[in-house]
Amino acid sequence: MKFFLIKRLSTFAATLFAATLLTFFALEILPGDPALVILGVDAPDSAVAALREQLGLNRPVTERYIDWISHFLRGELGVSYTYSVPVSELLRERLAITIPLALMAMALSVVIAFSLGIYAATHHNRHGDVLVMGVSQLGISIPNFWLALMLILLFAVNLGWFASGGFPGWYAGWWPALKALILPAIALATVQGAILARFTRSATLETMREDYVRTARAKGLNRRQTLWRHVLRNAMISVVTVMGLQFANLLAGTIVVESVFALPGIGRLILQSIANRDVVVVRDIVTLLVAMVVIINLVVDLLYALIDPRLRSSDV
Amino acid sequence: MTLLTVDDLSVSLDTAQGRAQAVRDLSFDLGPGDTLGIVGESGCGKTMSALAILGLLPDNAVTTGAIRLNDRDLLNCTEAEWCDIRGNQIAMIFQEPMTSLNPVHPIGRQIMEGMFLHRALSKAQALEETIRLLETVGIQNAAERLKHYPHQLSGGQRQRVMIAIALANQPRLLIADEPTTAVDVTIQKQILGLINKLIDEFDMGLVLISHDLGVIAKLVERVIVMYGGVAVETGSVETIFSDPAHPYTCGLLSAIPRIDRSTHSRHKRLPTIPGVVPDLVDMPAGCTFSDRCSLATDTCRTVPPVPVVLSSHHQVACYHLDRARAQWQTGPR
Amino acid sequence: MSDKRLPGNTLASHKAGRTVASAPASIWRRTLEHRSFLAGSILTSLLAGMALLSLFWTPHNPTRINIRQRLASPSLEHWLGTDQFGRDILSIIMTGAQNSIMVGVVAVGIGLLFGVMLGLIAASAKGWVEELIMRVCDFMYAFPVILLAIMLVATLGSGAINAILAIGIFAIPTFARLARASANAIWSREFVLAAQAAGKSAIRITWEHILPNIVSVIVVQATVEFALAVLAEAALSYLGIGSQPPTPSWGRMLSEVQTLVFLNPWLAVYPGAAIAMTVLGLNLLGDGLRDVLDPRLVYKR
Repeated sequence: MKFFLIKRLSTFAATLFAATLLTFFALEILPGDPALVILGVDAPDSAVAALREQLGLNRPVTERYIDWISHFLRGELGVSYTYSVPVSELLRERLAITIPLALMAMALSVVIAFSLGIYAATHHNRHGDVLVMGVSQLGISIPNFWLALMLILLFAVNLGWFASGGFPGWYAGWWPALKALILPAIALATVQGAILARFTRSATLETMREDYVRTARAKGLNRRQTLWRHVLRNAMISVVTVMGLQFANLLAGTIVVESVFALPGIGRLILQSIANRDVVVVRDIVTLLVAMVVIINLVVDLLYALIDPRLRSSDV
Repeated sequence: MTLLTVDDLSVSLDTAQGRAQAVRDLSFDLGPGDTLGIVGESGCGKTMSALAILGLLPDNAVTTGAIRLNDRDLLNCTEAEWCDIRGNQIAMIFQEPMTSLNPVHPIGRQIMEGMFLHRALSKAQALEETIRLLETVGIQNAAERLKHYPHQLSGGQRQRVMIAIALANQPRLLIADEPTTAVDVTIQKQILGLINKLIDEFDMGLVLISHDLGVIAKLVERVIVMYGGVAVETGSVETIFSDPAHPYTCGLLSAIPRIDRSTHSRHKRLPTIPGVVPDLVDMPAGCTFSDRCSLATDTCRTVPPVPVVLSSHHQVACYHLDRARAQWQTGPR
Repeated sequence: MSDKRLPGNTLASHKAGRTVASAPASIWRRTLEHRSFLAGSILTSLLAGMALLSLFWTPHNPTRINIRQRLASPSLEHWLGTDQFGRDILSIIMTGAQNSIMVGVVAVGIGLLFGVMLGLIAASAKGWVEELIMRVCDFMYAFPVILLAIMLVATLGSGAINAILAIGIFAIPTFARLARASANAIWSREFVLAAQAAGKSAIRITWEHILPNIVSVIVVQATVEFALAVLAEAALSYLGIGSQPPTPSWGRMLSEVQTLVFLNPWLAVYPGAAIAMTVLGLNLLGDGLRDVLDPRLVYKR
């Protein structure tokens, strides 16, 4: 267990480090002088030079990297060129939308995936299974932003149950805010849920063929007891991995879906920042998003150890 | 009084290639404390017969005939009744101790699970009984071992745990499917000795399934030799080993390497039976062994032979059993 | 194992060889019987045919603007109606298929080429090289394709090429992992050990024995990745960082009509349906190919 933990934690640290390097130096070669972007192309050279000095753009790259990373680690993010506010401030409002949205979508997709996947596995090769597989195949094929549009069309335009986009803000009360996130969450969860449902099904089916499941039945456990006590926990080991890997896709999907629903979340912020050549914001957000993905995968690895005793013992 | 009666049991499986006849017209009975061995190659229907007795055949299986346990017809049981019988009156030990235990539960929990299912026990009672059971099957530090997970045990220890699981409710009938195939020779001997001791101690009926005549000889009184889903020869262990009458049984026996024979057959290879096991979907119309049998005639290939009773303990399904016996007595070994 | 000399095994060793009757014939039988393979091929050929046809002929010029005819309903003249500039939607959809195919081919080509190469190197080199390649692949999984594209676009500017590049790079680790896993399985087979014993070089063994044996797995993955590429390109174009006007693109069509869904919902339905059908077709084809090429893999999904 100790060895396992050390290995995971060091991979975790290495991945994060590599991610910061990549993001920083990729954006370093960004064409266009941020000082020019801020002041406009007509600005006098002296003003541009002064601003460059102020922004620290004249210092060596490595120095600036170390400066950035040490501040980043302390939670002190940069100051946006365009908004002239600290990135951390920008992030706080934006994350208040993106994180609840991602969590809602994740929870919803897990509910969809587990119920459909387990149902299909226990009805293997029967009508229900075929139907679930067909629907999930369709679910995987639909682009989430198009599904989002279709949901707007149906529930906002035709039925008028929801607003077609925008976000009232959390101070408007939790229900109106939550309501604004329901359609986006459904759009995200449908695709994720379809992928996950197929994995849940195949993992459950695979586990049902294991010898120890037969042992459980030979003890006198009925199908339901066997499923709950012996199949699912083992099947979850592989499903949880996929869930972790899917999280990166979920975040990516959030960026797109936020755009459809005009939600002022991280996704919108990053797209605007790119349009504005606001390197500071892009850099911090990309690093933050990658960190989120890596942390989730670390959590998944640790969850493993909880589910699978083989990893807990020292001999792994 | 009989414990288990199997009467004209047939099992067929619907597969993509067609219907596979896994077991055909198998009949035997077993009294309390009796031991029976079923021997044959993989795919001969022995495991299917065992799973049929336990009601655990795959969903695509069709079963006909009758299986009676203490005069109760098992094939007409509902699923709930089956669950009541499994692990309670009939228990089974499986072939692969490495994969037959659930890797995510401690072994104590896996043994107690069966106890709680069939008996009203307090946790303390179950714990105490489990420790005793683990000691009975020869696991040291039982109280400590309870909390261990399967991957922390050796193959032999796992098979002992499997036996403990099977014995959790003192079943009347124990089915052991290749219990020693996956463990090495020294452990094999210990496990066989343990099973032998336990069936005496618990007065259980035993159905032992193996491809290994050596294992069969050590544990059982009566043997059924199966080939292609059919019982080709039935008899007491002594009869089968000393006076086999079916060409297939003769072939099996002569394929066992024996040190005492090596002196006069130094230059000969170990005999094998030519040909391959027939496809269960595409069986010969007559005797299932006919396409590999050196004695086979046209009758053998078209009409299945009816078992002939040679003595009260010996039945053979073969048209040419006299020639087979003669060949065995004089033949090249 | 002690059972090497037991009668059961002496006999069982004869067992192989009987069921392998007529392999090519059974591939065809499986192909025709496989429903998802059939459905997938039909949808995919439809897409390819549409793209091919649009190279020579479309009902109307997909880029010609005709304001008088804007937002027309479907008619004999315009089968699917026209958009806000009076362009014929069917023609744009048909031409958009070219774009999707191009993106898929190039992006999957990049991913496949580099990914398979890296995977094969990892499998044959073993040791720290393998470890390094695989860790880099793990690392790349942390970057969602959209994020990767956003970074590329941020550095190099918007455009179809950067989007394709991002999608292609994103596909590299998938191919590398798959190629390594399948290649490792082949490396441990007897005929490879024999080739090694005969003194063949790792490169030659990879070329002669490993690659031919993993082709079917790679082909299946390429089909699935193609579908993912189409989806990703649509998303990027929708965000405005994929293909740029006037190249017709299904994803961008959706972003252009988004404000019009209240007026004319069908405008949003067609391009989305085209994307969904394409992706569905490719996914079904991939599933089918997997079963047809290698029935042993059926349960490994």
